[in-house]
Amino acid sequence: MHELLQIIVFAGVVGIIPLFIPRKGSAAAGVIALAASIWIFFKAIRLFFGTGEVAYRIALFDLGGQIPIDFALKLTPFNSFIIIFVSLFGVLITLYSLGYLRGSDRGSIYYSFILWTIGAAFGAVLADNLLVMLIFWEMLTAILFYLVNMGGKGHEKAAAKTFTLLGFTDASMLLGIILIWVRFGTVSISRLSVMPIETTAPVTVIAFICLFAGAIAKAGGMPFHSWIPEMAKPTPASTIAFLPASLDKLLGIYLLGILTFRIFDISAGSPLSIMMMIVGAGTLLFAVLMALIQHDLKKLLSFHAVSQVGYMVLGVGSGIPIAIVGGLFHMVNHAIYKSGLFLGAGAVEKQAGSTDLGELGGLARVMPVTFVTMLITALSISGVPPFNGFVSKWLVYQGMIDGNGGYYMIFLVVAIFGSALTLASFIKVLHSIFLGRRPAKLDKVKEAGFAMQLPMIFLSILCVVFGVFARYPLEKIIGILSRSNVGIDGYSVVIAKNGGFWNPTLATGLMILGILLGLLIYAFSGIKKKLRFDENPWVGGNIMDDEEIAIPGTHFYKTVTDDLNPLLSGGLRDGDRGDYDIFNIFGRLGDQVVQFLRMMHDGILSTYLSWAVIGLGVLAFILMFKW
Amino acid sequence: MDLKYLFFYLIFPGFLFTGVVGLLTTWVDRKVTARVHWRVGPPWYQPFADTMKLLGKEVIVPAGSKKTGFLLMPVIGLAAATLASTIIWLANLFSVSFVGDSIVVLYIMTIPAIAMILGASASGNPLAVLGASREMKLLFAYELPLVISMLTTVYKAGSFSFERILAEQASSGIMLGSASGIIAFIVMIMCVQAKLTFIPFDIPEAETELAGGTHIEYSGAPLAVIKLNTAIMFFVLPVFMITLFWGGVSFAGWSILTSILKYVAIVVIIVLIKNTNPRVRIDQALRFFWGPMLVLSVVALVLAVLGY
Repeated sequence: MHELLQIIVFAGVVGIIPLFIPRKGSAAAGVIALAASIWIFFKAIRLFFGTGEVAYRIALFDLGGQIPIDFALKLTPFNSFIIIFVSLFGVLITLYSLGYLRGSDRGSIYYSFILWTIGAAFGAVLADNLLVMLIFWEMLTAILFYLVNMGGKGHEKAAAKTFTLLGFTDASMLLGIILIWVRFGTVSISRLSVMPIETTAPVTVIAFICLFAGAIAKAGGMPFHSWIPEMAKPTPASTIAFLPASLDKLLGIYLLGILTFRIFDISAGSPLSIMMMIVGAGTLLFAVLMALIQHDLKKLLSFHAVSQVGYMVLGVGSGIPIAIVGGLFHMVNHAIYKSGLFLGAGAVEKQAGSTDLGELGGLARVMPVTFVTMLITALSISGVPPFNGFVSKWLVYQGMIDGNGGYYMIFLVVAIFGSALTLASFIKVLHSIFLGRRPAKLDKVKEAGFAMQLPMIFLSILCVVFGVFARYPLEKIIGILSRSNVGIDGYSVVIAKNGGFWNPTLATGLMILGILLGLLIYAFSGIKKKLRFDENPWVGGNIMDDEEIAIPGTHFYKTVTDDLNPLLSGGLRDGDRGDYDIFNIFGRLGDQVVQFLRMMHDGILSTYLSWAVIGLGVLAFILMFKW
Repeated sequence: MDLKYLFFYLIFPGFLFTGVVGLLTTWVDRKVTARVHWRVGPPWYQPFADTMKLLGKEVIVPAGSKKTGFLLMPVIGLAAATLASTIIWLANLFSVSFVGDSIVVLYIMTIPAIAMILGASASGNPLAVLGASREMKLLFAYELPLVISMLTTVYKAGSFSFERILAEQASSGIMLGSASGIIAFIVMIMCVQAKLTFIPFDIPEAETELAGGTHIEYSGAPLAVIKLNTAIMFFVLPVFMITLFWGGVSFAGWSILTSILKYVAIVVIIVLIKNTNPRVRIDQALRFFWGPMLVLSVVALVLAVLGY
């Protein structure tokens, strides 16, 4: 069997095994899934470092030689880069699930879904035919529906919403694919990529927008984002860390990349590019504002998962080479730190029994590993140097300043300001969960198990490595793009053109030196002998116990979100209630249509007869004028 | 790592230089304040004496605090402030610059504030936590106008790099010579005032109200480091402004004198604002920065785009 097909079939077949393992032995199913995902990971590494492009193709059926539909897979530099992360997250999440799901009654089938997700994601990424891609894409939607349905209270609504939004955009993708097919006679990605496809004709524009909707719905961009916050609370943290946080970002932005620089020729400053940038900037600003008012950790993180998509869409959609690099690097970075954050949230949920920010506090001392990993990932997402999020955001900023026109400044300001708000939101998280005072009921909380710690540690190390040694992944990304006709000529040329990059390695070295210097000042002052731990915090001279002086972080930004501006606070409240949710808006519209149909079906014969007569009249009218 | 960067970072223009000049600046602050109050004011070495005295005091770590975080955070802030200073000075003195360094500096300069917030939060004191939340709100209040006013010069120079911004000013006149530059400069002075948490924006510390706020539990050596940190920022931020708007600083020949004069001018403006205003509430500060200051900075940016 061909090596590309082998992985997909392998994941599908091994995924069947857990179905036969009883609920009690779900750990065994987990171990099998772990072994399988590790094997897939090694396969992906071999493909990544292998000998360039590999193609595989079986003609499924041929419609008169004109429109070949074939099952085509093709390994390109771009998608080999994606699959390596898909399989890496597969391994990490399976490992984490072993600890996270212990003692819960989710059953072995969970691991089947995880393996099938990996297989389907490989299929979607490796597909060289848009229809094949869509089929795997649909599989992912279906599996996600089942995974969300395994969640706790409120899972039904979340699953339905997820399925509706993703199903709707999948349908719009199908429409886009058909339009491409009709217009260009092929749906093969590699054939489309060599055709010059200008986005001037209305059909191409519509096809693009249809496919774009599919990409951003998967990635979680506005306005198709609302499934992520909805599913965040009931769904197990491992699922949400795997799908919306990492895999769906990789897939959605991968498709966006395929669209913008392989299939269509989107140039910087074209209307479609500006549309994408508006979607990106809007997503990142509104979602982060929504995140500021959340009280539940998982829901808050999910709004950030939406917000960060904004940077990717902004970067990739701008059509400016350096911003595309930034957008793609941000995709990878986001997958790393956001799944790290969700895994941390899962650890807090499992150990402390809650994700409500108002009920937690002071866990840093009892959960030091979770705290440090979440601190690193939180600083990464906030774009604090020298972590990875900073590098990719900064590349996007740089792209905006390279843009030709004053309006790029608006996007730039939104991007920088969004980053400050992200920081604010994570300060609240860190304070509410780990710092501050610990409520008495959390006295017995212990650190999470090793199987859960390991993925978290690994991901936070990746955050540091991709930030401090950003050069290596960037070289790789630029190398890939230089072979995908984006107008980038390779790392050294990009560097020379921009007059040198910031050197995170040197800066970090100096920062560490500075910290040592500070510690030296401490040592010089003889701090060891002068430390005293017996004093209570000074609260105006009062002696108060922990409960009385605990300040939860949930009201940190009340001044901003409630008191400042009635328009802002009202908008946020409505947003929180779901007034701007496309799902609810269309739900209401659908309801009105149903009400109208109901009104007509009143069970009275004469009404039905009159409708039939009207219908006949319309038919007769059409027939008369058409013939 | 290149050894010369060690020298740059530790001695000149990094830690030692910035620390000493920063402490001297706080002396200028205290002296001017004293003259405004019709007092004599301290001798020039007073900040150094204070630092030494604090280093000798005992260090109280409150019960129930997160000890490591509490003690480590001031040090991280110090490291970041020094790094920001080094980058700005290297660009000014040796034209060592890289693409987008102004954005990097802007981000690095937020680290001391973040460190202060996390340190205060780790202390477990409710007053410190109130201060921390105010500091965070203040941060994103001034961040928006600060970024926009910085972009005014960035747009004019067509680059984020200090070197190009300085080169642009050397060739076609300082940014302060244009309408957009003046407006952006005014906005940035306000933002710097808030970044330094000086009156009228000393809301996170609010000595008469929160008894020091974010600083309340710090004593001894950590407090000395925090004071040093503020001093360094007091030095770095005016130099940052001079670099962006006023043609930068230089040590060559007579320009050393003009550089010092530029610096002292900005410091005196900051100190005078500090001495002639009452503290505002956090919501007033937010309204101020997201209202008039935002409008002004946008006007500056639009003027810059239009070419004024």
